[in-house]
Amino acid sequence: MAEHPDSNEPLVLSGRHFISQYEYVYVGFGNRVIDHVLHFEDLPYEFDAMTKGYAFIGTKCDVIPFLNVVDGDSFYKSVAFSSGHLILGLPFNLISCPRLNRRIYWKRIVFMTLLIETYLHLQ
Amino acid sequence: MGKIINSILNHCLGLSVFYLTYTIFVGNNVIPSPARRLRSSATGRKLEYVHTTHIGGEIMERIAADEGVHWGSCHFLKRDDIGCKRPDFHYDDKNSPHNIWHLPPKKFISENSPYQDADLFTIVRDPYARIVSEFYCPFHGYTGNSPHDGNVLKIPGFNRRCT
Repeated sequence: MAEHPDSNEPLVLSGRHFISQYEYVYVGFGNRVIDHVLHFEDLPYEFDAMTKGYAFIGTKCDVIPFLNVVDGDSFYKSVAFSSGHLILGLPFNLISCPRLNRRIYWKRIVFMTLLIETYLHLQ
Repeated sequence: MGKIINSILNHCLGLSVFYLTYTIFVGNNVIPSPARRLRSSATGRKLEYVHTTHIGGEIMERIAADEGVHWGSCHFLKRDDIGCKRPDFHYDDKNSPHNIWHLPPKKFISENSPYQDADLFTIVRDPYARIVSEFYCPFHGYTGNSPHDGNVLKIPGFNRRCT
């Protein structure tokens, strides 16, 4: 079995389950990189207190890139997702994300209409 | 008969060209996702969770996923058990660091880090309670025949790793 590229690193032991907690919180000597360190023993209260300063901005229809390539077959995934998007995603998202659809699908609908028109004309 | 077959083939060819053109030029990899961000009301920076082990991290990810927020492994994997379906960062199990969501932020390569330009939070726990939990972990814990023998944890440098 091929080794992971960082298999020589001591932090890799047992799927990274034995990394010291200070490794997450600090860089070098005392430079803290974590803004909020919550304590497991008092989590509900500390979590509530932290999230008071945060809010959901945007909607559930925000667009983010789909980049995951677990099996390395990105072309297949890209085509498969595009086709699913074309056939199933369009009507579904027209209902669930109207704001998103106004932004994205107008271009697609115009493009598709033009292509169909051209195709029918050629026939 | 030949005319009918010809006509069908013509239509199939036309539709294939249309579909391929659509896929290549319009159907790109950007798809709508249920993911949304929890952002600071003051600065607008997103809030990201740094997943240390054995502090109830999967529960945190599940709570976030219920609200449509990606935290921890949800950035990298589609996980039905947690309820996150659309990973938004590249993760190739063969070439990426193993369990990349357990990697400390300082070890991340910047272009593939969900922690970039984010407020970070993590959860810490009494190291002793944490290591007992690690010991009984079904995935990475002790698998020998003496789970109640304290001597099995006497590995050089073990305490230093687990603080």
